[in-house]
Amino acid sequence: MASQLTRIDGPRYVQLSPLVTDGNGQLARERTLIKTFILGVILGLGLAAAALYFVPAVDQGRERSIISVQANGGNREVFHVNLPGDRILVGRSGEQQTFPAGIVWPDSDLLADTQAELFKVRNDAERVVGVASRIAAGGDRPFIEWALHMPARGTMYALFDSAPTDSGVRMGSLRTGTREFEELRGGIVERYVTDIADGDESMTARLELVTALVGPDVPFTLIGEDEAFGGGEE
Amino acid sequence: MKYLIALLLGIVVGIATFSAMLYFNPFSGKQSISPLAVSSQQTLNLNYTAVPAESLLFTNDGESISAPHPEKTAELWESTIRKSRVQVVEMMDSRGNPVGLGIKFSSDSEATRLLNSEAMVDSAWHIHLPERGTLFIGQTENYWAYVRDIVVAAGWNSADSWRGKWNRVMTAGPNAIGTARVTGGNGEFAGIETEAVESLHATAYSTDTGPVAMDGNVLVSLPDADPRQTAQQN
Repeated sequence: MASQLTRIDGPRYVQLSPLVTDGNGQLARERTLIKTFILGVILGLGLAAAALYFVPAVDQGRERSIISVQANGGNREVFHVNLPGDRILVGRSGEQQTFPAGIVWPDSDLLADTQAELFKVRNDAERVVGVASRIAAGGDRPFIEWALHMPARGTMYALFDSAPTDSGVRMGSLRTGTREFEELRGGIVERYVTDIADGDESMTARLELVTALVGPDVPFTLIGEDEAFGGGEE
Repeated sequence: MKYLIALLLGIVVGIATFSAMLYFNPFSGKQSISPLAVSSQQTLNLNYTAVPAESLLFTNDGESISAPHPEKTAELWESTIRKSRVQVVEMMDSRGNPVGLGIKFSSDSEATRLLNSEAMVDSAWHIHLPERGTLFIGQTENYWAYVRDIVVAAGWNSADSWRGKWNRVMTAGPNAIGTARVTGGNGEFAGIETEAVESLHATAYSTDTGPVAMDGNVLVSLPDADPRQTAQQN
């Protein structure tokens, strides 16, 4: 026991670790262990940083964009909503036809002439690619607007004529957009189709949106009704 | 064997240290003053409830903390939209009077970089103010401070909740000074291009139901000139 005590200063004595006096290489092993631990810490820091840098935190699901070339140079893309299955919301003041069940829509004069709808939107391959809002206002300044939000691509904001053409089609244009649609311009056509013959009883109608968009410096003419529903070159 | 254990322990400590550095980073998410606060232009102040259960309608993938509201609302379960949320709210003026309707689309953004304290969300507002007109707001928001200060703090709390006073500007772009892009649609806003900032004010949060007491504010800078003249000049 006396060999493990050494005098440091005055009468006080401290007990030293047996490692110091061991002399059989254990100290070296302890040091290696500590170095390994420190290496692990550095490795952990590096791994965490690398994981956050290289592994995407968000990876949005994507569907292939089905685009055809329009005769006027625009890229034609068709979206649609299957009704009533893709409907998320119908909000109207003073009406019993609000949807979904349980919604408390403001019954005020303010929104008396407004109808707000929300839908899931599908591409030409029947895949859901986004969600969209449609606001229709009546009164002395009627209008119809769409905001079409596709998480992997961006959002389109389109304004439409409130009055449909003789064939029931509404002509509109892209007012602005975000991300992929930010720099694009062009026309959009809305058509309500009731003549659905695919045997699916849950789908009684379809709301179609046909876009024909071009880049910022490309001259364009708004898409016509024939071009919208006549197809393009794949 | 003990070297392997030391290495693994070191890696765990390293990852924990990195997470702590990320979490306590004093240089992240400090913006609480709107970039438009010093603007001399006229502003439009819109308030809304950010609590899903107090919204007219809220929907998401159905598996997140906040449940869709009303209960029977269609969920956004499809792979392309499951990281998205849609909220429909009544917009109020600064005195708390209803002035219109707002539909907000939000999707987790692939621009998220946790290493830079950026938990980004791509969002778009489709706003209809019947007595004035319509607006579209496209923005990116940074939810890092919200997750760190509220969501994680609530998780650490033994009561699984958070209470306090929290104010943050959520808008982080796309404009260079951290403002959102605003585009006018119809009515008196037709033709305008301006900017906006969205902020959140939270006082209570639960890990079971999400936000319990939280309000949002959208501050839109309005051009002084007649917007129609501005549009014609552009």
